[in-house]
Amino acid sequence: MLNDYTIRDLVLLGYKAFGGSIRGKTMLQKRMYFLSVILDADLGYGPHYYGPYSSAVAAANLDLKSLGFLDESSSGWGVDHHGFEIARYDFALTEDGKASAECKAMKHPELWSKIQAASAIVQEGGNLSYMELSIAAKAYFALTHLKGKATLDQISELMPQFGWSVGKDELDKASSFLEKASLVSKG
Amino acid sequence: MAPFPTFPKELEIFADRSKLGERLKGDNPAKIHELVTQDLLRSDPELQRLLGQKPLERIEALLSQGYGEPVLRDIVSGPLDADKLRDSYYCGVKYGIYDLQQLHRELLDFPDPPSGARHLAITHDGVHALEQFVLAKHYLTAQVYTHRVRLITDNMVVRSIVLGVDDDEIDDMRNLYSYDGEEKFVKNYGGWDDARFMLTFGDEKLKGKYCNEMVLRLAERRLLKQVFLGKLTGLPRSCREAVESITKPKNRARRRALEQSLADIVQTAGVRLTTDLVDPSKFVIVNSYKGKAVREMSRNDEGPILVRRDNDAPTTFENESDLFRSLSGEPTEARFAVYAPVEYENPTQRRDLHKTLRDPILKALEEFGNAE
Repeated sequence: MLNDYTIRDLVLLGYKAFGGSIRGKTMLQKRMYFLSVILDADLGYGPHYYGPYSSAVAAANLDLKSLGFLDESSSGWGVDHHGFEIARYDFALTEDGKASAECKAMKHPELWSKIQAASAIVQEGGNLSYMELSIAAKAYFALTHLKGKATLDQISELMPQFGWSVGKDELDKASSFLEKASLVSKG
Repeated sequence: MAPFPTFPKELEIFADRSKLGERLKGDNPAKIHELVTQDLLRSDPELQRLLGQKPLERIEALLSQGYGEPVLRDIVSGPLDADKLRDSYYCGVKYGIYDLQQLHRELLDFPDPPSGARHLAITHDGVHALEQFVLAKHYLTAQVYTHRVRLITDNMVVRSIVLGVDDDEIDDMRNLYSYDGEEKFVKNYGGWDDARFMLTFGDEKLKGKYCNEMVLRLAERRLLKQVFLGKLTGLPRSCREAVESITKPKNRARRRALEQSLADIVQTAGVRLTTDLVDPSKFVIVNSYKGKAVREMSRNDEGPILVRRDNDAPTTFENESDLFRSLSGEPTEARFAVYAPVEYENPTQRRDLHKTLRDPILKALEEFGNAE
């Protein structure tokens, strides 16, 4: 059923479920990734150098901006090793966006209920930073390639095949998030 | 040769998909114009003689979904696509100028470990050439691709074809655009060009047909006029999503309804639609389009362009480019326009017309959105 709805609707309702705003493009991508996992919805995620990425989600985000439903603001976020300032792009629903999301939630109550529940699961997993969530997404993605059952060592060994490098401590923290979010069980 | 070679999405509705089978794969079918191009390549004896079978097969593979190296597809239809090299030259504009040789030197194919495929990327030294290229694309888009007259004539061409098939039921037109993958189609299609199209469908013997009048308007440069233009974000909230996707083939019926409603609005406002055909609303065209902000021009459909750095992990073009880092994140400006067969004699009359029609059109759009 979920794939009947446009990805744009899912992203819009995702914003509503996460309180109306998301800080950073990576956070957006990874939160939507976990929503897609929990809802078993195909949002077009595939492996990419920087972790599971969906160009469809990125495009939907742009569409929402062009419709005037989303505001984008940038904020300085430290400097990189070249000494240049890094910007983070934060997104927030505009008043029109909130009204539109509200309309969609009322029009599709069952879908909205599922998205609310899914976002609650993601948030219950812990207030992870965008990097930690990114690692958790990579770990989960790698796990799906190991037929859903693996040790942390096995996941860690698989990571370089995707071009990812994740330390043991980071993986441990990621697995705790995944366990709290009921996406994995440790045995 | 072929008439108006690209098959815009609006005309893909006439394709006979039941005959295309395997060539339209699953949920992400190949575009019709790509299939037509593949057929043309395969069947043209002159091309085979000049290029040879193997190169032709490779070119065909480039246009086929799922075949060939991604790096080759990136060249043809990625953000660094070869189309842009051509357009600036043939439009005779000075906007799309950039250092092609430099860009060419700095392009490379780069392995993307997650997928194992090789994609088009750029060296660190090529970042400035790429900035130049992306800016050139931006100006070409702003000044040429989204130029008002170009948008109007494009829409007139497509509308003339749709009217010719659906309303006038002209066999020649139907045969020309009902792609079915058969050899007969390709042979017929390859025998047409723009001139033959304009002469045939502008011919006296089709007088009285909608298609005929539209083609004659193009030939005689009696173009439709833009009677409304607004940013999507300035339209009533209720209609924005419906209007944004109004040109999609699946929304034909809704588009038609909106155009009829707007034709009534124009006439009620005392503005004459200058056509003697039975239903002048068929010449009222709504259009929704957007240019891309400069930063967005740097992205492709698959993700950000990678920049190879000698001693570091690759990064994205957006992170590496000083120019793009300094640009503010301007949102994409989508716009909605209405074109109609009206007349005015001077800019003052044009302004008055726009002023007269603006509020009634906005009201009609709000009602359209609320009815969705």
